[in-house]
Amino acid sequence: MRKLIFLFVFIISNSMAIQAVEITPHYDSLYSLGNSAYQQQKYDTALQSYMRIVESGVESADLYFNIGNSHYKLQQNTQAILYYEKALKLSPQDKDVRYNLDLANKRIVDKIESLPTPFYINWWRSLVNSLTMDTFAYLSITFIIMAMLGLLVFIRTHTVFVKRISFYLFIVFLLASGITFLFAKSQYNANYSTQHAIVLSTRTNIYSAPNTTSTVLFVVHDGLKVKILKTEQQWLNIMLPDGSIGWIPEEALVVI
Amino acid sequence: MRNFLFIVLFLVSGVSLAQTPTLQALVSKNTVAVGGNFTVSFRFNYSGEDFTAPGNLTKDFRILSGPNKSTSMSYVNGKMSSSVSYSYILSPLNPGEYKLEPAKINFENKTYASQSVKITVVNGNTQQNQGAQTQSDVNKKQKQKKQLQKNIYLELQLSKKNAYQGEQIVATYKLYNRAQLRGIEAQRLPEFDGFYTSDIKVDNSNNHTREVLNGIPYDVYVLKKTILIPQKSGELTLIPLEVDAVVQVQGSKAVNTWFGPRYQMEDVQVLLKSKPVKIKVKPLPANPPTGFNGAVGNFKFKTNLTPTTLNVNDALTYSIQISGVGNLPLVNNPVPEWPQEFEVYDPKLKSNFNNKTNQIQGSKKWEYLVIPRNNGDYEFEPLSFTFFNLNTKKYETITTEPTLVKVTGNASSGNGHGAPGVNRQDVSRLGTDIRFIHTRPPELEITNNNFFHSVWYYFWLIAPIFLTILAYVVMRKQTELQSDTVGLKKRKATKFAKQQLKQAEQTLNSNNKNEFYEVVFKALNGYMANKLNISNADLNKSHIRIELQKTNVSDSTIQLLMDTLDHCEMARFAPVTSISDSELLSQAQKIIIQLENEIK
Repeated sequence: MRKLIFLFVFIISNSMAIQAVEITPHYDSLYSLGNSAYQQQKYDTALQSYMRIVESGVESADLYFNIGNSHYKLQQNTQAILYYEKALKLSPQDKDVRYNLDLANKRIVDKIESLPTPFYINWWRSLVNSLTMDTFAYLSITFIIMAMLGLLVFIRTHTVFVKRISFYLFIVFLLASGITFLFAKSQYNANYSTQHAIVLSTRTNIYSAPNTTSTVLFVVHDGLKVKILKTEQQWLNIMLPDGSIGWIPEEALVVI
Repeated sequence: MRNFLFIVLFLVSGVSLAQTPTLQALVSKNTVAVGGNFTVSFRFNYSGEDFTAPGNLTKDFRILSGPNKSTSMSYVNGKMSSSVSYSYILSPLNPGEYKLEPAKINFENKTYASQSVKITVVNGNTQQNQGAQTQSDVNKKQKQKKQLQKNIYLELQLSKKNAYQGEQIVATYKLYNRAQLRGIEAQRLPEFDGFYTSDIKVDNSNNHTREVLNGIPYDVYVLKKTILIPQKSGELTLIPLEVDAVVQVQGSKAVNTWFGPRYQMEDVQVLLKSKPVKIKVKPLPANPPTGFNGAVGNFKFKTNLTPTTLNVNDALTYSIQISGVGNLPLVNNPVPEWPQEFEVYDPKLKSNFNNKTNQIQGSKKWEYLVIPRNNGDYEFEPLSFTFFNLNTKKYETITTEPTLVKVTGNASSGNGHGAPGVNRQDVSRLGTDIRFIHTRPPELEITNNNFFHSVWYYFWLIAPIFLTILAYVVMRKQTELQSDTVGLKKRKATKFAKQQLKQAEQTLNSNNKNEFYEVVFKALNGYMANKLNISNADLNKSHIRIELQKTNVSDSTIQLLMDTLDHCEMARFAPVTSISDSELLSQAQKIIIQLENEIK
């Protein structure tokens, strides 16, 4: 028994150590360096310092947002869109990112009407994206702990009133945990299990089959966001916002 | 009889429904005199489309009127039928035999043609002199006509034949007459393509003036007077005016009177036509100054602002006046730049110009109602008006002086005009740019390291459930143990007693009397303690008796137990002979069996 508890404590401390990233002052100084360069309109320098943080294998929505802004100011619209999309993936409700992404999207060549989404889908999306995926994950754990505490109280107590209240709490927290899990899962499905990409090359043919000899279905331009459906060697099967599907060479895209 | 009539009517209507589509050409008369007129109508008994007039209609005849289209619709027995007719009033030009070519019309993708019609055109007044004309008559008529054309003619007079675009030209149509004019029948007004026109009223009351041309006096009638303003440059042609005049001439038949042959006077209709005239229109010089609006002439420009000192929400009037000679009807006002905080209403235009002096002159005045909505000093910026001066052949710009307006009072006090409260303004958007970078220190995470869907996440999600189950099991066990201690003791009691008694049997054999009694005493005491759940502190004879009495153990058994315990206690200190050791042992066993049976 005592051994079991010991094991738990060990596991918990281990998992905590993995979650926390050591933010060294190195990152902080690079970030503020980038910010001050941006403020002085030296967007190249700003971009370089931001990219050095990214290259060391860490990420954040704010960092991607600033990189996107630097690219935008350097007239690199496609790269700006790519980094705004990356920022949105980490923080789906950031209004600044959405605003700037909209502006950047106004500059792209392809005007594609996206498929209309029913209002309830929009509601669901805004609900699902109201918090980040990991926040929902933590919430679901918190709720399951609360539910289990409620269950224990329910078992232990002999007072009818307390028993009833604790049972209700158990049910409510169990449901809350389930819902938050579902939200996190939904975000995961939208952003991680299905991948999106941005078209990088200025003009790319979309083919009907994964080879250049097949029929050219349409032509897309840089900056367009597409959904990746399948991968076949060096080719990707993609879907445009308007629902049309075709094959594109891998090197023409960059995955968000 | 009535029934019969009804049937006939019914049949007739049936016939009319079944009729084939035909295009009929009808002429009011087949023989016409030169200068006379007749009517041709083409009637189609269905609603046809794309009517084509006979090819020689315009070549051999003059169209006085037409084509006049008329359609009719009728419902017979609930069925609709319709017909179209096109009619012309024609006048022949020269005598001879003419054949009106067939007209054509389309109906349900088929073309239908009319029959051709023969028209005989004769000289003179046919109705009266048909067949009675001699060759000399004809000669005389032609001579008369030539004479007439000299004596009566139309002329278009222009004030100038070269003009700038936008310059005024006066066109006067004059009828020169020396013959005996009886009247003017019909006028076909010319169309002035490419001109703005303004008709000058011709006073017909004082009839005519006299002009002498080449020593011959003429009566001159002004038929039409128009001011033309060319709207485009290039050579523009004025389409001639046509007039039917009725002139009295000497008749062909002489009447012999006492004074010699006399001729009767006859009315003859004469077609008078002015000659087409060309006007050369020069374009205005290139590169007009900004603000040039097409005004040509000689203008004065003025702005006026009253009052210059006023309260908030009181109205002021800003008027712009353009006056002078030129194409005033076509002039637009320059639009002022209004200072901020002013509410401006659409201008009221007062036009006051006429063409009485053979040129358009007068003034145009625009009045703006302007209401200041905030106090302060405001400057109405100078206003410029540019026009092309025909005298100097140059563009001229008149600029007014800036005007200062002092607005006093408080905007919020609102004098009852506007809504009370602070005058709120919309924030106007001047440009768009991306939002600024986020400068707060970022919460960095290892790239693509999501907590969700990681092993740790699922561990943490499931761990509480396992912990709860574990806690439940542990708790269950503990309560189980707690609730069962008494029963366990009871169950143990007999076993314990038996063990002790067995030990006593062994000590009996080893002749250790003292130990034997102690063991027996302990066995009984321990048994009671376990059986009745009495703690060792309370373990004495009186307490045991009380506890036993609570249960339904018989008094004899209790007495026997008490005796045995006494005996044991006593035997330990003094030898007892009343009962043997083996008897004591069996007695103790008997008590336990009895108690076992009686305590339930």
